[in-house]
Amino acid sequence: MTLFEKNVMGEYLKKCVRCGQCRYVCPVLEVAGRESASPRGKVFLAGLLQRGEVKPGSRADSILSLCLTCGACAAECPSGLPVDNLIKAARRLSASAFPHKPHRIVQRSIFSKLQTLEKLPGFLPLMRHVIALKYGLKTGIPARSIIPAITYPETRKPRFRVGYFLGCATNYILPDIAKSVVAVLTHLGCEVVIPPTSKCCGIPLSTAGEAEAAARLMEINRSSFKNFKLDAVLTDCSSCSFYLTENGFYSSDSQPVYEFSEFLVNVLNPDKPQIELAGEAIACHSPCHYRYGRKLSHQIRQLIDLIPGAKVVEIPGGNSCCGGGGTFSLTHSSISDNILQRYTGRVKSAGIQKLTTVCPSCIMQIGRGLRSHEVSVCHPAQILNTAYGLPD
Amino acid sequence: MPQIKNLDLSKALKKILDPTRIIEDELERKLYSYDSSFLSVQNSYCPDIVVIPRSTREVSEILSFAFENNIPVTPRGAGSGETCGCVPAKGGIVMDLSTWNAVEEVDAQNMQVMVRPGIVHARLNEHLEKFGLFFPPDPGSTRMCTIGGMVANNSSGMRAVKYGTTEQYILGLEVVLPDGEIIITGGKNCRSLKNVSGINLTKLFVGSEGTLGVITRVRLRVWPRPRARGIAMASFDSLDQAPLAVLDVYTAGILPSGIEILDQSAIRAVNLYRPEINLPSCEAILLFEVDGNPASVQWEGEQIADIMKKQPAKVEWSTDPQRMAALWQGRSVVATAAARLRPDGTRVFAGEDICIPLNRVAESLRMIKSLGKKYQIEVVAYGHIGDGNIHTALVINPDSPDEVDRLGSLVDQIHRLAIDLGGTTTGEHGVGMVRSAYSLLEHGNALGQMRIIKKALDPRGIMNPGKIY
Repeated sequence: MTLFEKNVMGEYLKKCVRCGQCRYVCPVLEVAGRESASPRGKVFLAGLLQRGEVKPGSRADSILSLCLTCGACAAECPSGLPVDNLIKAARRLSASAFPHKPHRIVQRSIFSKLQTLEKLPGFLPLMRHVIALKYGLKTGIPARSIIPAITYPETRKPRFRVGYFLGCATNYILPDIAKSVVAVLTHLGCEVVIPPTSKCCGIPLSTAGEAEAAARLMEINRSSFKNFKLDAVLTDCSSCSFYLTENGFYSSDSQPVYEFSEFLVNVLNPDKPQIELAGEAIACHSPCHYRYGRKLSHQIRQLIDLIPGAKVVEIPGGNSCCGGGGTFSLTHSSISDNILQRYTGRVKSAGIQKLTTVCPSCIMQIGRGLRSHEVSVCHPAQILNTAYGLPD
Repeated sequence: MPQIKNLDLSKALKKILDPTRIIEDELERKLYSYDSSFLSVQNSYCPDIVVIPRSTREVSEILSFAFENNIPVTPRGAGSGETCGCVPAKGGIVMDLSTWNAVEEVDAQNMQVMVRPGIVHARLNEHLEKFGLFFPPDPGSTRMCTIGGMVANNSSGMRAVKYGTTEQYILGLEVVLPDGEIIITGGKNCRSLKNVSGINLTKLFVGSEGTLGVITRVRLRVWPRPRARGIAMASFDSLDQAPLAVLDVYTAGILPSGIEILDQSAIRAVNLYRPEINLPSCEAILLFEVDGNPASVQWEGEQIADIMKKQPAKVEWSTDPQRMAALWQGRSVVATAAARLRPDGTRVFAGEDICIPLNRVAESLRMIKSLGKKYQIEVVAYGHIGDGNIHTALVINPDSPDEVDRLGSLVDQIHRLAIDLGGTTTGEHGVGMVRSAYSLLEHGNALGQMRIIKKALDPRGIMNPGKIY
């Protein structure tokens, strides 16, 4: 039974007492300032759709799209409802009513067939152009083209054979993260396998209500990794980690698809790096899917604390959503910018020089917000890469 | 009902405020048809239009226009109420004030703060913490409700025993009257903490549930934060013992900041939802919170523990912030965690807020439990027993028409029981549409005087019609 079954969804919806506590933590509501932007409003709409009182269509889609699926509401809900998943289930009702709308076909094609599309002339240049325009980033050659499927540690017999789930944003937009992840893991004695047939984790499609297409990707990914005898699977992206862990990457095992910092801290117990950091004030940003999804808290900080000379600074007012939300920053740029500016304003006020986090989407979004202030935003693997003195 | 067409309504309102703060779309308007009450689950009260004002001038111009054209106006905060107080019973304009939430000034030297109506209670107290201050009324809905809503309903909560209700903290209000006139109550330039000059108009608007005007600014009295807190949890083998233990504490000259009760079902619900809180399994639990300076907190905690031995009750005393937070959280989640008691059910907000004289609380708890048995509906009793304010969470399957029928009868019986015992149908949630049927029974000919006041201030009856009177 899944939430996507209409009757199961109905049972959950029945338990919403519309108290409005979810409003307290919703970053979209804070900026948009109307009930349709609140999780409660969208759960109410989900009920109208589920009971057939409102027909799926562009108005419902537009309201349901006002959600970053950050999961803060689900963590806050006194009734314990999976609020973000109810919103995704409502999006699915809409998606299944109109599966052949052009934007849906495009969306499914992009995330299901990226590896085929990238071979089309003009596809990668177009993507590079869009990314440069929006995020000011120069994207290099996709990581999969430069990193071998299997990388062995140079000096010793592998401690672990790990599968590296290389997500789309890292592969196409931030390939340097992948290089650092592989370098750090092999330095720490891991044999790193990137299954060539693995695909997008499916979270962008699941979030858009394309549950079936996302499930197909999960099936492909599961069998891609099954071919290798692995001790663990990890990813550099907390959203991929969250989605794969929650949606049955392992059919029976309770083991997670590790997030990078989680794997290092909880499993590898890495050596202290030798190279000292030059006293930069570093902030650790906890992405929403790391905090609310995977319920992780201290691992990024613990990694940075390992590095001699690292000065970790708290972000005034604590961690917040950056407003990125995968494609949300493209589809709702004004709301996304507003959420971002509120957050980066606090980061700037604390004299932070470097911010590190474990989500490529957050890195792109926060990086864009801090670009003019020369605060560098990177993945902890990149900081460790330098601290271990590994080649760039 | 509106005398002009929606098209004209929208055209006129667009002259007053930015069109991006006007909601005309039918589907989006539906999202303003509810609050947390069961009545708004059963019925839909959809506004003709929604406006999101951001200044007193805008509110004034909207009301002035509505007054001229006899259009109902319903002010709305976070919509966390349980009485249909903020839903548009007669359509018309809904005024969403929930995100007009500026803390305009903290006047720490004069122990007061000026806020706009949409600030959420917990957010205000987070802000005041930096100044070593707090706004004492402490509703369970702290992370939901707005200060505007608290003023309109004269809300209180878990610490009303010692700190009283919202009305004691309202020094003055800026109110826009139904015809658009703007007034300031409590002295137009006043910053003093006391003021008996003239009729107390502030108190007239506190608890008027948006039926006399729109509150656009609140001057709140705030207090220094206590330096220490402690919680004594007493567990009883018999539900009857708990109300007696409350009276014993008062008789001993101790005034805790809060006294909360959880009955057996409430305890079970909390343990199902948050097993780590691990409440003892018994017929009733009392949570006594004491605050003040560290020495007095310790002394009062020890006294309460001694007094509880008389009943007898087992006592756990804690000043550990984590344990206290867990116990207090346990109490605050009951409201919705009650639904856990029935996989196919949900907690409904109906007949949930009676307040009983202290010496009849034990009797009322027994009678309510027996009414629950009679109507075969699970009644979870919890709440602010220190001032006799008992919340009754009723758990039903809302899809069963038979259960919904029985619920109606049970709710009516609970309300009548409260009045019979010398109490009230509502201690802090308000009347709205849900309890207006009992207004005459509660107030007799005083209701007539309320109607005269309403008519004087709102001669055309445009402000939140269909409520209270």
